[in-house]
Amino acid sequence: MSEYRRLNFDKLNFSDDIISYEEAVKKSPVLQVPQDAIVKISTAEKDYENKCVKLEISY
Amino acid sequence: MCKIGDILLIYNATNRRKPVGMHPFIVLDDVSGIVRGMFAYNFIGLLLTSANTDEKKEKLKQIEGNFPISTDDKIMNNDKNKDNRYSYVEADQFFYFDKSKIKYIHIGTLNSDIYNLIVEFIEELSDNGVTIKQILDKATKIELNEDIDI
Repeated sequence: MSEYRRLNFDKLNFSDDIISYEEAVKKSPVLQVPQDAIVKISTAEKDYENKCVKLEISY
Repeated sequence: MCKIGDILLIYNATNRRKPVGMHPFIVLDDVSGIVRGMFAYNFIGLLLTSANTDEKKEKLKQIEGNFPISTDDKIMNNDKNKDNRYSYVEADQFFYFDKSKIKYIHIGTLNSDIYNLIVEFIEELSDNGVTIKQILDKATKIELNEDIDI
Protein backbone atom coordinates (compact mmCIF):
# COMPACT_ATOMS: atom_id res chain seq x y z
CA MET A 1 0.00 0.00 0.00
CA SER A 2 1.17 3.55 -0.74
CA GLU A 3 1.22 6.49 1.68
CA TYR A 4 -1.94 8.49 2.25
CA ARG A 5 -1.89 11.62 0.10
CA ARG A 6 -3.31 14.87 1.49
CA LEU A 7 -6.02 16.67 -0.46
CA ASN A 8 -5.16 20.19 -1.60
CA PHE A 9 -8.18 22.12 -0.38
CA ASP A 10 -7.07 25.32 -2.15
CA LYS A 11 -7.88 23.72 -5.52
CA LEU A 12 -11.54 23.08 -4.67
CA ASN A 13 -14.69 25.08 -5.28
CA PHE A 14 -17.07 25.19 -2.34
CA SER A 15 -20.81 25.76 -2.50
CA ASP A 16 -22.38 28.62 -0.55
CA ASP A 17 -25.47 26.51 0.21
CA ILE A 18 -26.15 25.57 3.82
CA ILE A 19 -27.11 21.92 4.26
CA SER A 20 -28.00 20.40 7.62
CA TYR A 21 -26.42 17.18 8.91
CA GLU A 22 -29.87 15.59 9.02
CA GLU A 23 -30.51 16.46 5.37
CA ALA A 24 -27.06 15.26 4.29
CA VAL A 25 -27.34 11.80 5.90
CA LYS A 26 -31.03 11.10 5.29
CA LYS A 27 -30.47 8.98 2.15
CA SER A 28 -27.81 6.87 3.85
CA PRO A 29 -29.04 3.83 5.83
CA VAL A 30 -28.27 3.83 9.53
CA LEU A 31 -25.54 1.36 10.50
CA GLN A 32 -26.48 -1.24 13.11
CA VAL A 33 -23.92 -2.42 15.65
CA PRO A 34 -24.54 -6.10 16.48
CA GLN A 35 -25.55 -6.97 20.04
CA ASP A 36 -22.45 -9.12 20.53
CA ALA A 37 -20.01 -6.47 19.29
CA ILE A 38 -16.82 -6.31 21.33
CA VAL A 39 -16.03 -2.71 22.25
CA LYS A 40 -12.45 -2.02 23.34
CA ILE A 41 -11.15 1.03 25.20
CA SER A 42 -7.91 2.05 23.46
CA THR A 43 -6.94 5.12 25.50
CA ALA A 44 -8.32 7.29 28.29
CA GLU A 45 -7.49 10.98 28.49
CA LYS A 46 -8.39 13.50 31.23
CA ASP A 47 -10.04 16.66 29.90
CA TYR A 48 -9.80 19.23 32.71
CA GLU A 49 -11.48 22.00 30.71
CA ASN A 50 -14.68 20.02 30.12
CA LYS A 51 -14.40 18.10 33.39
CA CYS A 52 -14.59 14.68 31.79
CA VAL A 53 -12.52 11.68 30.77
CA LYS A 54 -12.36 11.05 27.04
CA LEU A 55 -12.32 7.39 26.11
CA GLU A 56 -11.10 6.19 22.76
CA ILE A 57 -13.00 3.06 21.84
CA SER A 58 -13.05 0.76 18.86
CA TYR A 59 -14.99 -2.34 17.88
CA MET B 1 -7.42 7.26 16.73
CA CYS B 2 -8.67 9.65 14.11
CA LYS B 3 -6.26 9.95 11.25
CA ILE B 4 -6.50 10.12 7.48
CA GLY B 5 -8.06 6.96 6.03
CA ASP B 6 -9.67 5.81 9.28
CA ILE B 7 -13.26 4.62 9.16
CA LEU B 8 -15.25 5.98 12.10
CA LEU B 9 -18.76 5.27 13.20
CA ILE B 10 -20.33 8.50 14.38
CA TYR B 11 -22.45 7.29 17.22
CA ASN B 12 -25.93 8.49 18.14
CA ALA B 13 -25.59 11.83 16.42
CA THR B 14 -28.45 14.24 16.84
CA ASN B 15 -29.52 17.12 14.73
CA ARG B 16 -31.82 19.75 16.19
CA ARG B 17 -32.34 17.36 19.12
CA LYS B 18 -33.59 14.55 16.85
CA PRO B 19 -31.48 11.38 16.64
CA VAL B 20 -30.28 10.63 13.12
CA GLY B 21 -28.70 7.26 13.89
CA MET B 22 -25.18 5.95 13.41
CA HIS B 23 -23.33 6.54 10.19
CA PRO B 24 -19.84 5.49 9.06
CA PHE B 25 -17.40 8.13 7.80
CA ILE B 26 -13.95 8.07 6.24
CA VAL B 27 -11.52 10.61 7.70
CA LEU B 28 -10.56 12.85 4.76
CA ASP B 29 -8.42 15.24 6.78
CA ASP B 30 -7.22 15.21 10.39
CA VAL B 31 -5.86 18.74 10.73
CA SER B 32 -7.69 21.25 12.94
CA GLY B 33 -8.91 24.44 11.35
CA ILE B 34 -11.58 27.09 11.00
CA VAL B 35 -13.95 27.07 8.04
CA ARG B 36 -15.97 30.03 6.73
CA GLY B 37 -14.18 32.08 9.36
CA MET B 38 -16.44 30.92 12.18
CA PHE B 39 -16.63 27.11 12.52
CA ALA B 40 -13.84 25.30 14.37
CA TYR B 41 -13.25 21.65 13.52
CA ASN B 42 -10.60 19.01 14.06
CA PHE B 43 -11.38 16.53 11.32
CA ILE B 44 -13.30 16.31 8.05
CA GLY B 45 -15.28 13.20 7.16
CA LEU B 46 -16.86 11.71 4.06
CA LEU B 47 -20.10 9.78 4.47
CA LEU B 48 -20.11 6.10 3.51
CA THR B 49 -23.43 4.90 2.14
CA SER B 50 -23.91 1.16 1.85
CA ALA B 51 -25.40 -0.35 -1.29
CA ASN B 52 -27.10 -3.45 0.03
CA THR B 53 -29.17 -4.21 -3.07
CA ASP B 54 -28.36 -4.18 -6.79
CA GLU B 55 -31.06 -1.56 -7.29
CA LYS B 56 -29.50 0.73 -4.70
CA LYS B 57 -26.00 0.11 -6.11
CA GLU B 58 -27.22 1.15 -9.57
CA LYS B 59 -28.93 4.25 -8.16
CA LEU B 60 -25.86 5.34 -6.17
CA LYS B 61 -23.63 4.72 -9.20
CA GLN B 62 -25.54 7.35 -11.19
CA ILE B 63 -24.72 10.14 -8.72
CA GLU B 64 -21.80 12.20 -9.99
CA GLY B 65 -20.16 12.78 -6.60
CA ASN B 66 -20.21 9.12 -5.50
CA PHE B 67 -17.11 6.92 -5.49
CA PRO B 68 -17.47 3.12 -5.14
CA ILE B 69 -15.83 1.27 -2.24
CA SER B 70 -15.74 -2.51 -2.39
CA THR B 71 -15.58 -4.73 0.67
CA ASP B 72 -11.90 -5.51 -0.10
CA ASP B 73 -10.99 -1.80 0.06
CA LYS B 74 -11.79 -1.65 3.78
CA ILE B 75 -9.76 -3.23 6.54
CA MET B 76 -12.23 -3.71 9.37
CA ASN B 77 -11.05 -4.08 12.97
CA ASN B 78 -12.59 -7.37 13.85
CA ASP B 79 -13.97 -10.10 11.61
CA LYS B 80 -16.73 -10.90 14.05
CA ASN B 81 -17.93 -7.33 14.37
CA LYS B 82 -17.53 -5.99 10.88
CA ASP B 83 -20.42 -4.59 8.95
CA ASN B 84 -18.54 -4.54 5.69
CA ARG B 85 -20.81 -4.00 2.72
CA TYR B 86 -20.22 -2.67 -0.78
CA SER B 87 -20.68 1.05 -0.43
CA TYR B 88 -20.23 4.46 -1.95
CA VAL B 89 -18.45 7.45 -0.50
CA GLU B 90 -20.19 10.77 -1.08
CA ALA B 91 -17.09 12.66 -2.17
CA ASP B 92 -18.76 16.02 -2.88
CA GLN B 93 -19.99 16.54 0.69
CA PHE B 94 -17.48 17.42 3.42
CA PHE B 95 -18.63 16.96 7.01
CA TYR B 96 -16.70 19.12 9.49
CA PHE B 97 -16.51 17.63 12.98
CA ASP B 98 -15.41 18.87 16.36
CA LYS B 99 -14.55 15.67 18.26
CA SER B 100 -15.77 17.16 21.54
CA LYS B 101 -19.30 17.42 20.10
CA ILE B 102 -19.69 13.83 18.94
CA LYS B 103 -19.27 10.25 20.10
CA TYR B 104 -17.51 7.97 17.70
CA ILE B 105 -15.76 4.66 17.48
CA HIS B 106 -13.01 3.48 15.18
CA ILE B 107 -14.22 0.54 13.10
CA GLY B 108 -11.56 0.18 10.42
CA THR B 109 -9.25 1.72 7.87
CA LEU B 110 -9.50 2.38 4.17
CA ASN B 111 -6.78 1.00 1.89
CA SER B 112 -4.41 3.91 1.15
CA ASP B 113 -4.44 3.26 -2.62
CA ILE B 114 -8.22 3.62 -2.65
CA TYR B 115 -8.05 6.67 -0.38
CA ASN B 116 -5.63 8.31 -2.83
CA LEU B 117 -8.02 7.55 -5.70
CA ILE B 118 -10.77 9.35 -3.76
CA VAL B 119 -8.49 12.39 -3.38
CA GLU B 120 -7.88 12.37 -7.15
CA PHE B 121 -11.61 11.93 -7.75
CA ILE B 122 -12.44 14.97 -5.59
CA GLU B 123 -9.88 17.06 -7.48
CA GLU B 124 -11.34 15.90 -10.80
CA LEU B 125 -14.85 16.78 -9.60
CA SER B 126 -13.64 20.26 -8.81
CA ASP B 127 -11.87 20.55 -12.19
CA ASN B 128 -15.21 19.65 -13.81
CA GLY B 129 -16.95 22.51 -12.01
CA VAL B 130 -18.62 20.51 -9.24
CA THR B 131 -18.91 22.50 -6.03
CA ILE B 132 -18.26 20.82 -2.69
CA LYS B 133 -21.00 21.08 -0.08
CA GLN B 134 -19.96 21.77 3.51
CA ILE B 135 -21.91 20.36 6.46
CA LEU B 136 -21.06 22.38 9.52
CA ASP B 137 -23.59 21.32 12.18
CA LYS B 138 -21.03 19.22 14.05
CA ALA B 139 -18.30 21.86 14.03
CA THR B 140 -18.20 24.44 16.81
CA LYS B 141 -19.48 27.88 15.94
CA ILE B 142 -17.10 30.51 17.23
CA GLU B 143 -18.96 33.17 19.16
CA LEU B 144 -17.77 36.65 18.29
CA ASN B 145 -17.08 39.07 21.13
CA GLU B 146 -19.47 41.98 20.62
CA ASP B 147 -17.79 44.12 23.28
CA ILE B 148 -14.72 44.89 21.21
CA ASP B 149 -13.95 48.64 21.20
CA ILE B 150 -13.11 50.06 17.81
